[in-house]
Amino acid sequence: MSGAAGQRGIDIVVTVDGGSIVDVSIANHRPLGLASHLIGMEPSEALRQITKLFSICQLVQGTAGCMAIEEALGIDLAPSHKAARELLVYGETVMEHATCALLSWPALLGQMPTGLPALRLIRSGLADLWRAVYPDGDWMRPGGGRLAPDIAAVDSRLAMAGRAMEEAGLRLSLDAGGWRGSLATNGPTTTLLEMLETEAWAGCGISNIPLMRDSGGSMLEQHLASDHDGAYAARPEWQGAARETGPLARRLLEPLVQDMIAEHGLGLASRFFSQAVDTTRCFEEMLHVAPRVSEAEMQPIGNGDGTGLGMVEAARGWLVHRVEIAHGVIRRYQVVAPTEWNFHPRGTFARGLIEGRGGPPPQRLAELMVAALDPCVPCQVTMENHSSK
Amino acid sequence: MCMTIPSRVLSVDGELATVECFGVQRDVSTILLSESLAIGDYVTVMANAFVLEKIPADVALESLAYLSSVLAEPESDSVR
Repeated sequence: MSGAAGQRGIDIVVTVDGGSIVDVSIANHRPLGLASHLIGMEPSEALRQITKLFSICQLVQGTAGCMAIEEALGIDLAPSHKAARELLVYGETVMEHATCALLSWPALLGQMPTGLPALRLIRSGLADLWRAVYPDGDWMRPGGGRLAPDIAAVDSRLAMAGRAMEEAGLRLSLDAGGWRGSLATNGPTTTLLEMLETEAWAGCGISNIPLMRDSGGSMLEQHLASDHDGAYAARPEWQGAARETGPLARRLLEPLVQDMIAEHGLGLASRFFSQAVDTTRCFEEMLHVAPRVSEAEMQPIGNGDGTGLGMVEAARGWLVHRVEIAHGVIRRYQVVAPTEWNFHPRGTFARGLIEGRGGPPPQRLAELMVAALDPCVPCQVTMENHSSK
Repeated sequence: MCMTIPSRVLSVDGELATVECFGVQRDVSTILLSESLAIGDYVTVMANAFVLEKIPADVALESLAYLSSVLAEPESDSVR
């Protein structure tokens, strides 16, 4: 168990020999059996529990759960509800990335965070955006709740968040000719990338693990259906190998990301820069999708076969919920989170450390890799000397 | 992705507060919070350092009870 009581996380033991990392052992103590406690609940109660347990990322968790339940029950969601969920999930992604860039990245550099007033405004605009869209607070109801958007309130919140992002240097110029030209002067991404380049660490952390460009829905359905002991959900693989999920995979084909990769490869700088691109792109998607959100009612239950899969791209990567429902209650509930892909014992975190020789000191490389992949998860990193083992 | 564990506010001093969760106390900043805090409130905390939001006491207590039952189980699901 790592961290404080209740903070079951990931324990990482890094073995060093002559200054180089020779082995990485990962023990995942996250309560992966959490979803099994939902068995026997009605779907709406299960969703309520999920959004309480994961309140920091409740919109993406609730949306994945709703999608799984709707597929199981044969509910065909109205386009306006889909647009509303997109708006809310993008908003949560922007908030999570902004929190990392304005809180965690300065800490990585040993600096005081200076963007907290901007972060407060971003959160004020986006944290409870659902209030302006689903006035009864029933955004997580399968089939959609009562969708009655207050367009003026949505526009006002987006304008406030957009101004704060601009002031904090979080909005990149996505039409710039190259990645350097896209950065805001003195923005958190600029400062972090300058440090990586100055220290010659920008290309460190390359793992050679394939990037997960889509959720692999049918493949996941097959694996999860036969995963009765939870082993697959704890260490997911695709075609027999680990995968990296997250902003780098999601934004791989963006010209600016390609420009960064051409210079520094698929390492630390590209991962951090992809988060910055993802922040800007998700906010633009919010502006694009907001006008498509209009009034809609809840959709009726259809003829599902009782099994459903919900897949959503969260800030850290693909999040998958799978459910089996019989006689109106949950019979099985499974979750595969991005953390389990990226912190797989032979996954991108472990390989990025081992193959990242010649870069930062081992402890520093581990800190940077955690920050680049999943800074939310409590990680305890312990260094061991090979000769003392 | 991380679970959210509610913390109870023990004291408030300007933009700082002391909170407690499962017996562990932490000093945290309330600078990101738009509303005021009082002793006994329940909050969510980011990165062990910043209060993100205030949550209703009944919701927090229900979450803590649920989490206590889950976390009391042996770590049979730990994987290496």
